[in-house]
Amino acid sequence: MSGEISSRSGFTRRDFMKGATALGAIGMVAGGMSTASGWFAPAKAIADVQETHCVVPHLVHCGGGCTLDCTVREGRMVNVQPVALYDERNRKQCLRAVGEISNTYSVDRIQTPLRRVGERGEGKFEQISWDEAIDEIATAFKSAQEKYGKDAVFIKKTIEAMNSHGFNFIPTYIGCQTEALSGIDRNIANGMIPAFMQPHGLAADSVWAWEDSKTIINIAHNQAETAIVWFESVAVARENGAKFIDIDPRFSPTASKSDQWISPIPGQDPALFLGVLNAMVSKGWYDEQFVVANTSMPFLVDAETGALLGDMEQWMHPIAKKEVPARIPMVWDTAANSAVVYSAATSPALEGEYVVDGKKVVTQFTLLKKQIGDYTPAWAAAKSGVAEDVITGLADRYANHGPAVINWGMGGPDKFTNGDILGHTLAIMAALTGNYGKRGAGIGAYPGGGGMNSGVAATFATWPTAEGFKPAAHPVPFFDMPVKENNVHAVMFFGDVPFLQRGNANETAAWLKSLDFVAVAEIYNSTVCSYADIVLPSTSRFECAEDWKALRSLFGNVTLQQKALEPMFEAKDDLEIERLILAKWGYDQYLPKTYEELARHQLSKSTDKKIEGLTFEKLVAEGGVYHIPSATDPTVTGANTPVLKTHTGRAELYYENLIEYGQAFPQFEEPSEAYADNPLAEKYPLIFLTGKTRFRNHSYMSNTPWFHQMYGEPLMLNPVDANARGLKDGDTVRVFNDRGEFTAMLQVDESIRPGSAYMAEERFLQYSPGGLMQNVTNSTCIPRSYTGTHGAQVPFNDNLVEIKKA
Amino acid sequence: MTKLALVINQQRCIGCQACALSCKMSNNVPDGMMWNRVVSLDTDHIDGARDTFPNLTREYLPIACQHCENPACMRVCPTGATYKDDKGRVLIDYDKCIGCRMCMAACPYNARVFNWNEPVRQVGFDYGDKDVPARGKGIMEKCTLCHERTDRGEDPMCVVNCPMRARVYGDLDDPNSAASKAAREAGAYVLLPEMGTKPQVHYVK
Repeated sequence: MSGEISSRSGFTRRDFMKGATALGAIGMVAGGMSTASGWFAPAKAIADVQETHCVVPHLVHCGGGCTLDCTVREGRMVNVQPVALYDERNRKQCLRAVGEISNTYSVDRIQTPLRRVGERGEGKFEQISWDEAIDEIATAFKSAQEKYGKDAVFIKKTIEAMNSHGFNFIPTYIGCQTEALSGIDRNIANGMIPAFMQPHGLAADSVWAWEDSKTIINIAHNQAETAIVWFESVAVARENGAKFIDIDPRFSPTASKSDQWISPIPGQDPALFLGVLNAMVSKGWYDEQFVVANTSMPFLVDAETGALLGDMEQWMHPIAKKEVPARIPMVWDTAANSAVVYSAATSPALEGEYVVDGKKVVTQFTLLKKQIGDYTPAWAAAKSGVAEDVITGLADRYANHGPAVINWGMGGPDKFTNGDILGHTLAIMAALTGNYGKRGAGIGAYPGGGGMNSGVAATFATWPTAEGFKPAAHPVPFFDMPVKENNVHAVMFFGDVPFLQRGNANETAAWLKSLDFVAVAEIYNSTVCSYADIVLPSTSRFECAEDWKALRSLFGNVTLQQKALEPMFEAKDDLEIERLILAKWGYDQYLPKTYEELARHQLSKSTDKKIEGLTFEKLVAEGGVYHIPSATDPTVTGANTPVLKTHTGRAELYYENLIEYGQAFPQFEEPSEAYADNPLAEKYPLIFLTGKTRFRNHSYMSNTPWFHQMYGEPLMLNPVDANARGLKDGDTVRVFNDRGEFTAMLQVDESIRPGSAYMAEERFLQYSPGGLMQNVTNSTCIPRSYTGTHGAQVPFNDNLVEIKKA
Repeated sequence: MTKLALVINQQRCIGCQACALSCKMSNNVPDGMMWNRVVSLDTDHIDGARDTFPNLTREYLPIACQHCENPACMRVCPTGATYKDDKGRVLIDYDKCIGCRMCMAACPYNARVFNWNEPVRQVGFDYGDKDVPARGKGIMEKCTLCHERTDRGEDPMCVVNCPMRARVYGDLDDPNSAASKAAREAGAYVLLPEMGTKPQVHYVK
């Protein structure tokens, strides 16, 4: 499939790229020998030329959120370094910022609007005008809406496309379906949120607060390679004496910078930590007084039904932002010798069985002890492959040695169906030890340096919506559209949503082929482009038709994106693309005419006191970076804020809504596919894991020749598994299961846990000549997953495969 | 005297390659060539591990010109193109280089790269610092400690862009410089001391 697309996509480029290197270049980029000379103006002597410096906010999706100082010479970006206007700790960037020079001028840029001329998936296109392209998109949308209803159109942006611009106007005005984040890496968060009410499971504090930690348990967060700019916090913490314990099946770059590396069998993290919890509880390594006062553990549960005792009331859920029924729990007051509302008790019992109104009731803590009683360290060792003494040692270190942090990345266990059980278990560990809400202690995902507290970022006003317009209801999330009944017939994606945001690429491709119409706005020739009827060229973040582009606020600063480069080729900014499309309905009148008009509105109508009086002019005068005065220490904010936004203000650890799934307290459950006793493992014995490489941000920067010169995109296997299959370093291997297959170059390395295979996640099709890695990944969510705060989560890593020589 | 150098903290180095790529960018280093690179010791793989699972280690080592006090490259250069400047840097006078590659063979650190062909740049233009001179086919090149930048009072680009702040630039002959202090830390060492080249670049682990 992909090989064809790879070669045929040259068909269009040969026409559009001036110079004879085009077709060859597509194939040769992977070897790092491509040239775009002749495509851009030739290089000249550079003495005494004028240079300008531009402020360009970089990627947020890696968690980095860096702001770049780009040097521009003769209209080209020639140097990238961290902007000097940031405070010392945040004045950083990683290799991806440098790589943008190579990436921005890559041969993979979409240069003109394109119309498909072959079959979907073939990647054959012809050049058309912007007028023709916009006409065809509007006609197709109108036709689908007339034929099937307004919700027949679905428009979705990738996280970067959304965050770089901050708007998504079209769905509101044409009344079609749209969607923000869904299905990705919130499984641990889903399991933890009911206890702590931290949106997205994000930690309350910043990574810089780790300098006061004694222990950091780092689960599946390879930040030394992903959120690189934040990893200095680990170095600082370790230099201050913290023990950094890394939990990852693979010996990642982060693992090699840890004090202790623990490699569980992939998908068995819940077992590992249930063993840790069991050790803590059975050995009494928790703070009883704290637990009684600050957690739900004394609350009474009906021993027969599992329901909590207490009346219901309506409560505003702080994340769902809607009223939901919530229990007013009861406890056993030993002073009164009766059940009373939790807030009225003077001496609540932590443990015990009692009778209330003729019903046998137990405290949550008594129930917990029973529920996790079998999950001894010995049991956990057998499941997870981690030694029993290591599990007990982990419990001891976490509970008994000063403030401790539990940090997870977004990935790893999130990408297994049982990841929520891990999140729930970790929440209980933190609650029993009080390891949250105080300096040096915390729980959550710290991917972007941490700090969910809004104190570090300003809130901008949103552009007003004209009366009477709203998007259509969106009953089926994107990742389920290929497999569940829905009314979507025409789609538009800004960026490669389809092949990044769901597994099982063959299923995704079949769905795209089945639709009436597919449009894509893209900077680069990403995989989804091959399946589009119309492709529109978007500008990169370095380009703009105006002098200033989108606003952003992160880490105590407000930044205004500056034009570094003129739009390349025929590329247009996303705001202009939305305006052109909506003009076909006459709705462009409701949109800002320019980024400047939008930014002026966002600032002048903001009700955020932190940026009161901040004007567009002032921001421009300050070079595009404004330091929020009240954010004196922008990276340390949530510290010492133990107030939880749960209904009772305590850590609510018993999940009544999951009784029907047996998960009111965490109960071990195997992943849906990737576990040793699965009969499928006889046929497909290896667990296939995906992760992130420093040489991309998901698939973004797939086409960066400077990186291709350094990184060969290997599939990695331990020598034990390679030898058993007669495979050696450098072999081309076929990775396959019942969902599909791909080929890759093999790298045999001890850093991979035996029994598993690893590859960095998806890159563009033309760099995957043996097929997409996503062909073998799992797309099936389990029913319980749909009950999570952030909805069902795609189990991208819950895969069994076999590998053979191609 | 002045003895400019880098001190690199390997405890902090995470092998991210930001220094290697920043060097490439700032010095207009063409496709297929690197003045600075980060290797994982004892393995042929980028980020490769050594020893046997699960008892693994990984050691990242950024390597570029060591700016030796006694440079092997300089001694073999037949034209005097390679020289030690008054600030202790090993530099190349590109006009004098005849492309004999004696220096390349002599350098025990494999720090030099040669323009076997006319340089090719994927992006089709010259990038990086505007004061960095062009090098053509047949010319040897290597790390200059970003002398165009540092002579203007700026730090080398590998130092500016290191997200771990693992690299310290300064004068080893100034006992109060940060580099000088770092080079005297416990665990400081130089590469291949037995070669007698007396590298000025120090590592700390």
